Amino acid sequence: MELVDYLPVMIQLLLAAVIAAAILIASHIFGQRARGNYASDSAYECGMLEESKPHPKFSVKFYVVAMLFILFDIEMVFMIPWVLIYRELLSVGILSVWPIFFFLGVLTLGLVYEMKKKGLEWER
Amino acid sequence: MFSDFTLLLLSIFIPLSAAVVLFFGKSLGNSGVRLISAIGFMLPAGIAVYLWMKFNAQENLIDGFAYVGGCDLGLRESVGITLLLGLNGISMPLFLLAGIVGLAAGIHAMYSQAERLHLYMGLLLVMQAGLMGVFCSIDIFFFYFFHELALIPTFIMIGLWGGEGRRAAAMEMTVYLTLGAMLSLLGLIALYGQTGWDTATGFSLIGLRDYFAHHTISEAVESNIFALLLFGFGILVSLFPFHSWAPRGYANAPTANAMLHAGVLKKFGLYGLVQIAAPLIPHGALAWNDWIVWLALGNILIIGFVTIAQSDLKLMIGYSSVMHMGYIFLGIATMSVVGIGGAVMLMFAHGISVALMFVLATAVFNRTGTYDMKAIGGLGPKAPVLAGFFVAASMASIGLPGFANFWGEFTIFIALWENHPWAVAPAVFGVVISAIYGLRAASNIFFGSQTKAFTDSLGHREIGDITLAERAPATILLVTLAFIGLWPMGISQSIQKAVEADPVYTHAPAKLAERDNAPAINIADTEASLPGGQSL
Amino acid sequence: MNYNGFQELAATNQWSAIWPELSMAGIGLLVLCLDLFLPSSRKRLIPLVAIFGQLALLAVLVMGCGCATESTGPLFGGMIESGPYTPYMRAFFVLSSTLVCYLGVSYLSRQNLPRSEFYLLTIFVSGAMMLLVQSSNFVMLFVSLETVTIGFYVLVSYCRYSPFSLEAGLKYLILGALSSAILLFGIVLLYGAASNPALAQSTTDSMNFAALGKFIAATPEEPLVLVGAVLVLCGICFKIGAVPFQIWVPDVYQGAPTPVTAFLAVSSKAAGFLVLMNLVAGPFAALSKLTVPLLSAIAIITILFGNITALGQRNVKRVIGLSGIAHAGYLLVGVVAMAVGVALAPWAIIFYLFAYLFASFAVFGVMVHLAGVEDEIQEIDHYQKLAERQPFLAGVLAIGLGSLAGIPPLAGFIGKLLLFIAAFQAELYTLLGAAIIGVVISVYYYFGWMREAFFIKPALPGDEARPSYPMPGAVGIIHKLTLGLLVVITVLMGLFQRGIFGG
Repeated sequence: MELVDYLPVMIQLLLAAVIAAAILIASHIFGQRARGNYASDSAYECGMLEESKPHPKFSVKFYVVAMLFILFDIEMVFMIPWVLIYRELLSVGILSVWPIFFFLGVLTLGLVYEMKKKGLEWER
Repeated sequence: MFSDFTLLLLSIFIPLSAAVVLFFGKSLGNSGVRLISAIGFMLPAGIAVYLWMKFNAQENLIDGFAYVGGCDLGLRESVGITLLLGLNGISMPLFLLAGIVGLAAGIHAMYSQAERLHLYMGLLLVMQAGLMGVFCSIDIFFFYFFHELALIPTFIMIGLWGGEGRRAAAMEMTVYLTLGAMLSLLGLIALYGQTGWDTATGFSLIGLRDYFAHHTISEAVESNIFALLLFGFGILVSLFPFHSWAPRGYANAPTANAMLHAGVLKKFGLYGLVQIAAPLIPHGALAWNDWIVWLALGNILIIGFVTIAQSDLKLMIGYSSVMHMGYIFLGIATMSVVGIGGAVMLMFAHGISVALMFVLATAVFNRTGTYDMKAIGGLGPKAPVLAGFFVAASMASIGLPGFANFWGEFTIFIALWENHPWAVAPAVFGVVISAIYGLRAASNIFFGSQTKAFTDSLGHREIGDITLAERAPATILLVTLAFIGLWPMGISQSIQKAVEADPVYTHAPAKLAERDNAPAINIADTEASLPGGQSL
Repeated sequence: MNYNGFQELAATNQWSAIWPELSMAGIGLLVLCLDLFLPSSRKRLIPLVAIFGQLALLAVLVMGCGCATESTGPLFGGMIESGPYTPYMRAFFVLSSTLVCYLGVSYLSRQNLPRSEFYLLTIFVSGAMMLLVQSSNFVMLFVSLETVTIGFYVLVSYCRYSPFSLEAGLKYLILGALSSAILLFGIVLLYGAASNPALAQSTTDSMNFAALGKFIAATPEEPLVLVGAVLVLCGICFKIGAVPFQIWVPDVYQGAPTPVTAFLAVSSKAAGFLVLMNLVAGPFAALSKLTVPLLSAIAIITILFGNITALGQRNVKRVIGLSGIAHAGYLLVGVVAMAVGVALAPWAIIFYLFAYLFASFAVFGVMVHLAGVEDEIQEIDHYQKLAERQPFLAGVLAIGLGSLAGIPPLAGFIGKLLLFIAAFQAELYTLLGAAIIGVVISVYYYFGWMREAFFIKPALPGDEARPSYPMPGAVGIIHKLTLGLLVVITVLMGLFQRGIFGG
């Protein structure tokens, strides 16, 4: 690759720098002047006093469900490539349906496990 | 009935199986424990004596080794390790030593007051099995292996039944001896490595001798390997700056254990130098010759003076045992037939006499409750037999004629005169040192006066003479010493035959002389003209 | 696209060749199903199924070990290739997993934790390890490695009420992920380099060990290859706990439940070493100019670091962890010897691993019995007067530690001997020197531990202030038998090597 080909990258870098500088300068010129207070001087200041502790307690149930959802979601991803070449595999005489059934079987077992362990019950 | 090889195997496995029985024999009761341990100690001793008696009549020797036999335990094809047993003229006396001292230590231990006697005897029997194995192994791996087997009980016994400072002593000994053992293991592996890892030769001493006789190895390599072996074995034998574990360890060890360790197990390293290192890699031995002499003189003189300063009887015996190692090292340093013969003779004699000293020291302790020689005194009239034993043992240890030690030290001095004449004077001075501390100990304990505090501590306790349980081992040992002292041929004949058969020992002195630019001495002439030469 | 290629690949799908792995998965699924469908009064059956199922598999494997195993060649399209060590390592992992499950029984009954998941994870992880050591393709290697690692994330933090266990889990997660990332980056670099058509012997199948090996042999000087290889080795060094990637070991070993510590110490390390061996003898064979000095340096530092840091420890789990680092160092000496080309080295490593397995589980068996509910606080002081209280356990401990320290006539000694001979054959004298120093140091702390158990300590002022330690009851007959068996095997392996040793 020639160096010229990297020109767009160069332009993007420049653009980013210019925009950042412009915003800083603009806010310096047009922004409000205020005395610094406790909130604005704190490490993660956004000008407001914090309303609660930064690590609130939350119900873990949602996370369990979300995690389980992601697991099954990802496992579905495994099936997409299989679906795409299933017909071709069949045409050369490879019976790929049994492995997938086995896969689904294990997956179903996982689902049963979740239900038995009350992972899907909201009210507990 | 049994083939001789089977007897050798039995001499290892009888104590071992007796030990296993005893480990699980909590319910045997003291008499049962004694019976089993008596079997475990007597049979190997009997086998050793039997094999010794018929040793000189043996024919069909394989490279000097009689009773040879072996079996493969599974490492032969990969690394050339075979359980190969047999005895030659050098190992025969030491095998005998292991049997006799083992028997004496066993008898002594059986009637000791140790708690958990079954465990105590079991560990001692494991040690005995290892000791019998060390000296009848032709395979140098098993030679090492049995040594370690005998070593482990030492740590445990010191820890469980030892004296005041046992925790520190056991740890110091463990770390020191592991270092020594590891270095010597590396050296042994390196010897095998010189054959190009030929598994047919393997770790067998016979095979290695054959190989080294027909191949030359560069002197630098020989010197490196010898250094590994010298310092590895040296640590195990308490060669001068590596000795500090020994006196403390012995002082804290239970008596039977100290007898076996100081008497027999420590000969492992010396035996390794005589039987393996010097014959296989003579150039290495020559290269390190001066070191051996100087360190050995360190053993004799420096440790000698330290010994004189001791007031604790057991510590004194420990230091004197370290000191006497110096003579044996000097004998090895001569590399001559006479010197090596004297060294082996002294190994035998010292093994017996130091074990005897430990028995007697314990007997003294049992009567007085202390090892402090300055405190004890005037025991002689109350325990005349004990006094007699003690004086005799001190004489033997000093090296007076009539005891086996004399022949060993005497021949070493003769050999030393041939190729390190300057070292004779300090070595003989060492005899004076040992006379000083040996006789002073005897006079302090048995003839001097006791301190008042000591008399008070005794109270109204009556001091009796030596009991039968103490007398039996002491008698066995003393009789052996005197027997060999009066008839050295009993073991020297086989030693001489074996040492002479080794070309290294017949040629090395000339090389030593050549190297030192000393006027070359005709070995054959001097040997014939020396009175010690014939007896060897 | 040419689908006939798939046909050829499919022809190599010999499911029967990986029946032990499939059986492991089967046992795991069976345990899962039993957990789901058995009434709770019958749940006691689950550990029995897990243990005896694996024991049956182990019996079949051991019987099969004697038979000649012909190499089947690459299977599953080059994903898997069983080597000469495969039968041994299968038996190794199944045995280790069985013992972990066994230790888990008494551990879990004390802790009030869910039971069946423990067995399930252990079994799945072990199955993955069995695949890991056979993988001959970086994809397979990475996938099975991740299966192992993710299983361990859960197992390490299994005791979720204990802050120690959670902390250990977090540390293991973060550092494990980091090491996986490093490994993956190395794989990617190798993949990229090997696929570059401008270079000699470039290949389209550049994840495959054989193809990659050919490429590396043709272009061993390529910087990308070198960097990639170093990164891959570093990733593996994390798993075996070699310095400077050992940082997680003490904390994780201490915090993890004791059976999991045993699993980490034995199986995880063994798997790492087998992978290392496969790599060093396989694709990286041509890189011995790089691997030998690199691994030598790591081995020396590892031996010294592990032993010296273990000296000052009072917590026995940390002692085991740090001494495990030292053992990794000794084994690395074997790997270096293998990289130099010594034929004895791989067998020495395998023998050592087996010796390590038996000795470690003997020690862990004692630890699990002696530990109280607070599993992570096991101080050396707890072992005081053990010989009086529980002479059997003290004996087991002595033999286990003795074997770890490498004292004849125990198996650990023969293992060290073989490694030393292999190192001698490879002329690695510096490494030998380091190993000797390490062994001497290690004797100090192993014996210090034993000393605590055996020797009576004089009472010191202030002893009364020491917290009391748990006083477990007598040893059950099954525990006695198991520990006795481990000890007997340790002794026998030290005396007779015929039949065990394949070299």
